[in-house]
Amino acid sequence: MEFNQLLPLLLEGIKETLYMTVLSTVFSYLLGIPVGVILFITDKNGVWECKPINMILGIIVNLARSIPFIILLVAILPFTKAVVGTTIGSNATIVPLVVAAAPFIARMVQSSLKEVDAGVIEAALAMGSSPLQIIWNVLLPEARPSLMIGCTIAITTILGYSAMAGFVGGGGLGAIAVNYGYYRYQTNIMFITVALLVIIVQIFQEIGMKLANKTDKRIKNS
Amino acid sequence: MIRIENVSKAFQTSKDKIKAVSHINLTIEDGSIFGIIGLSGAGKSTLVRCINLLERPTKGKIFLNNIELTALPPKQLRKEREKIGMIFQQFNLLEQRNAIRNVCYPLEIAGVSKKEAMIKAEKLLKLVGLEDRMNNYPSQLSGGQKQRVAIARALATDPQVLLCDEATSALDPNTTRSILDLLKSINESMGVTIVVITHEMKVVEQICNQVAVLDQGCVVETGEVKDIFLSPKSRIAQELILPKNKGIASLQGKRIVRLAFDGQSSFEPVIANLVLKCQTMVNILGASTEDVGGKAFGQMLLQLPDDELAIARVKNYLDSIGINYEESDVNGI
Repeated sequence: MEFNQLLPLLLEGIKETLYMTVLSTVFSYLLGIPVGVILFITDKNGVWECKPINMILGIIVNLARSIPFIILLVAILPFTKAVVGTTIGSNATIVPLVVAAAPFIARMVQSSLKEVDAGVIEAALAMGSSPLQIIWNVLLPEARPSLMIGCTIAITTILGYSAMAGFVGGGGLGAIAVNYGYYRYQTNIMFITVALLVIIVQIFQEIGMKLANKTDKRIKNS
Repeated sequence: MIRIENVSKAFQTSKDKIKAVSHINLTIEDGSIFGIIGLSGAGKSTLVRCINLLERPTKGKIFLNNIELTALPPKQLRKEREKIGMIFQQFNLLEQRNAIRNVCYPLEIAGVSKKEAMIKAEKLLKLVGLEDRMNNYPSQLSGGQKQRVAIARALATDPQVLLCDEATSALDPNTTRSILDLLKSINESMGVTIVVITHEMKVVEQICNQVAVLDQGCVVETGEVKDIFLSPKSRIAQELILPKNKGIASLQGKRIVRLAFDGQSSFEPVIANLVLKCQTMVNILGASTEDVGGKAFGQMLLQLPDDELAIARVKNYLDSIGINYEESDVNGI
């Protein structure tokens, strides 16, 4: 393929990949943060301890996390169609990506919250904070650096998953790699897309870690 | 006034029930500095957490100004908690907030506007001597400074009571002194009742008026600090006051007098005068004294000669200069 044909194709792929990754991450966090918070506060000695809720939610999260993404992608096709009206393209990929990433993110959020010093939560309780105030004013802000590192991990994982969706008619760089590299044996195009994916992951990783460290007040920035 | 009525707290572990505190009855008067002392594991921290219901007692009632805290629904309890400030051994500051915003936190959750909260926080940080550290984050502050921020934060909602859970145990002796001085001045100027949990007799000596001695979850002795310090009755109180009495066990039967300094002038050479005036030799067996603003605090163990007349002279002299003492057999201590 000529370079002037390849370039718009790759640019379109990058655009679609970023679109899927960013939107999926946003939606996954909209689901994952509340679930992670509930998992944390309903746990033993949490500020809103409730064993049944914790157990049921924990089982659902583990169940969803056990299903291999490529299987999940196909299994929920009817659901995907019901939500976005189609089963191919970038929008159709976002649905399974969110379904797969949200439980994973919920666990990461939970583990970030666990890092918050129990003494600080106790102090906040002693000052008369309600559970909601503790979540909003203590847990989430105090766990912010760890949450940001988690987000960096999540976004790069979702990017990897999004490439997998290329096999079932999803868009983006993954689809290009599959369609040209795998089905048409154009390995050079496959290499280029893989290289691009590596670069994108690298950029996300660097920016994420830098931001996390920069906003962490426990680190002395002199 | 805080009233603790027949409070017990047991923890359920997978194997058995552990009684942390049992059948505690205490009354803490308004404006006092009340010490709760005991060895580690005696249940002090559990008891203080029962006062603001961070730990809910298994049995018994807690009253603050005749309001029964143990009977309040969560929302009202939270409102009452604003009247009880608390500071901790590990300070427990919000690490991602700077000093002034830490002090603002209790005001924010109490619904005070941000602007008002900032004004009040600034005033409080000035009170604790940190006006030049307001924008520093906890990681940039020393232990003593962190505890000062914690004190300012605990005072933000104008509490009537300040609970101090081993507040000076993580600090060096000089910093401990300055934090205790700060607590005392807060007690005097603002009339805040202070409850101090500690395992160090020094802390009690230095700032408390009343003390309860805790051992294995029970109050074994309570009263004025002066009285308990002078003649500790329970074994555990004796141990806390004289922790290093093992070395003098060989002096059994010898005449030992324990002098207690509670605010006499540091500049007066008491022992030298005693020797000169009474014309007798004394042997200093041990001493733990400190100078607090020109006043002597602490105690000294003297061995007197086996001569009744000399002993009478010594006692007479001590009486005349107003130093409290207690004659004791070493085996009694």
